[in-house]
Amino acid sequence: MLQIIRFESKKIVYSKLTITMILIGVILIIYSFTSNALNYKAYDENGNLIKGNEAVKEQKSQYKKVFDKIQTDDEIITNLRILNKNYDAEMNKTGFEVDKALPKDIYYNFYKPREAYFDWIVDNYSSIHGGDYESLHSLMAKIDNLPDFYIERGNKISEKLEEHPFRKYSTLEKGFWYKKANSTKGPYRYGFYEGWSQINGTLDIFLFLLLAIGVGVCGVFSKEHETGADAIILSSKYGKSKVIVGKIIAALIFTITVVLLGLLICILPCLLYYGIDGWDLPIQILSTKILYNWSFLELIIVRSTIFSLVALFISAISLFLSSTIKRTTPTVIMVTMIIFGSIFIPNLDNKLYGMIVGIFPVQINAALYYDTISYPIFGKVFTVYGFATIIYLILSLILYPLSGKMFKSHQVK
Amino acid sequence: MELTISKLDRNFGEKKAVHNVSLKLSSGIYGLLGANGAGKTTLMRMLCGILKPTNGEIQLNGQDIDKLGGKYLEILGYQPQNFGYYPDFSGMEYLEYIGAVKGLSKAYTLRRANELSEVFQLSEVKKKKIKTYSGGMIQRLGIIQSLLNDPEILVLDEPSAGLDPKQRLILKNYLSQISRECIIILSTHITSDIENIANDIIMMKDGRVICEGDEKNLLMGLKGKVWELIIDEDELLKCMDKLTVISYSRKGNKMKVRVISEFAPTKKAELLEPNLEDFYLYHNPEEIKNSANER
Repeated sequence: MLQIIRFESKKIVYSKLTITMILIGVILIIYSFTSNALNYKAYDENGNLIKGNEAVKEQKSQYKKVFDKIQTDDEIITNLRILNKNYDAEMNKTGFEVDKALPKDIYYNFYKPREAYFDWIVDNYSSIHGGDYESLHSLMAKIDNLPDFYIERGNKISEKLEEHPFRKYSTLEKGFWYKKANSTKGPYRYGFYEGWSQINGTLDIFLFLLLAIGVGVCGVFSKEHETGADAIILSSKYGKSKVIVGKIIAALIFTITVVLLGLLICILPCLLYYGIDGWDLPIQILSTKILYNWSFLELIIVRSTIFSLVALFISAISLFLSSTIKRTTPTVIMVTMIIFGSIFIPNLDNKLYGMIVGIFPVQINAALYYDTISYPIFGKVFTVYGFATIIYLILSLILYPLSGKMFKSHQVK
Repeated sequence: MELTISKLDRNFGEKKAVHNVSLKLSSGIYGLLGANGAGKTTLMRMLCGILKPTNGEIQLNGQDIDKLGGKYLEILGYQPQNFGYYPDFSGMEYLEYIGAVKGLSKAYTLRRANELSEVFQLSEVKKKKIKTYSGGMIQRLGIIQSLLNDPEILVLDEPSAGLDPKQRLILKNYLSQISRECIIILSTHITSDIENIANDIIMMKDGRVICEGDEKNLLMGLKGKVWELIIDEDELLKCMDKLTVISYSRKGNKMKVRVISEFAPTKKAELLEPNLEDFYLYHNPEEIKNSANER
């Protein structure tokens, strides 16, 4: 059996197209890391621009100093007031020229180390449905009348759940999301999380690895038909038994290897370069509108797991199509469409449509944790991640053995 | 050991690729003769269990081969006409893979692969990638893989295609050697491949077995019908219209023509001993037309 698996794996890996696709995926991941790492910027207290590793070190030490407290509403208002005290609104003519509105020392010593933090605060006060955009400038103007940061967050979430423009949530769903909102109500700890943020961003481009997996697995059965090797295999003792199992195991090993390789190349350099700081911070510091009660580490684990499941599904559907279509090129085209096709699906304002599209490979691998897509089934509510896990697992469990069955029943005509 | 084929049919839509074929095969070489489309490959595929018959059954020692499953495939060796290989594998890797698929141990596979590579003169290139092989080398690799498990039933579909005369002779001798304990079914349209070695000749046409028997008995039917004529070159076309011309060649300024005729076509015609090619072309005259057109 091991011999068969070894040779079946070899057949997959010997394809130049597969190697090329893996290389493209790996290069994109490496490029994403290096370009961000080399261009990482921070300013020292004198306003000097620092880049790369020095900038990481500088920002880490700045964050340690300025975010040593839990970000209660008082703490947030205090920080806004300090800024406001030094803020000359008239100097900021466009609304986006904070540097002109603040004295240089306040700008570099107070504002710049907290720039992302202030953006996060502004985002909390912006409309949950978009359109009514806030800026630091507009926030400064109404500083005395600003509602409590966390109450405002709660209001925005209520607005989202009660008055969503096209998603009418059932009572069950509302209860589910309110419970989640309550479990993430804060106050939050803020801090340095760049490494995890980079990993999170890079996971968005993992779709290319899905394509590499699809391309690699597409020929597992169809190439036997195309070359005529099916006649020899199926007329051999283990052709309809161990070879099929060997092919499926080889496809699984290949899929898992590519997934692990991708995750390793994505995660390891980021954590070595930026450090593990921020692993336990809540993802609400990305946006307070996120309702998932996860730390950054948990977010990466969930997204990696979902990616792995989608990869398994792509591998399974590629195997299935390979054994049914029996031609490699049409199989590659169909798998590419399954992976990337949903990019071209228009974004319709319809709840059911959103629920269906939400679990497609492109969408589920994107930043769906910002959203509140839910699936009420048999009195239980599933998040998009829970639902996708079930769907992808079921589909994979059906398609893997089915592909083998199709090959087994193949007639050499 | 006896392989019994009973009333075997295989239809592809309206077309009857194999029709009502019944045969009893025991140890020895069976030469399956027939033109392209006669149904040889379809019959062989059914014998190898990779194509289900529409009707009829194939039994080994009284047991259905479909029910025997792995036990039947364990003793089967098959070389398809255009056998599939993996260009990036070396010859040895390919044989190792086939050995694993046939359920052979690695040690046995390597020993057997080395032995057969020696016999079929592939030793020197066995570690090279198959994509560097010539057509003849690939064909020999196909023969080796079919023999890897020392089969008791060997099915070879046009095994000599692409082989040079020396390799054909090696194959013929090897098959002769192993035929005492093995059922060998060898399809070809090159009659010399089975001449003198086949215990039985099975002639197929339009999906049916039109005659079956040993070479001597089959040729008996042609006795007194094969003639040699010496004619002028300009008479050749006329002769081709009137008679079944098997072959012709130049002899000085005349043409030497081999024909099949119930009676002496001319007074000077010389009676010849029939051979398998005469027999094949007698039953497949369209092949003569095709080759004449090619000429």
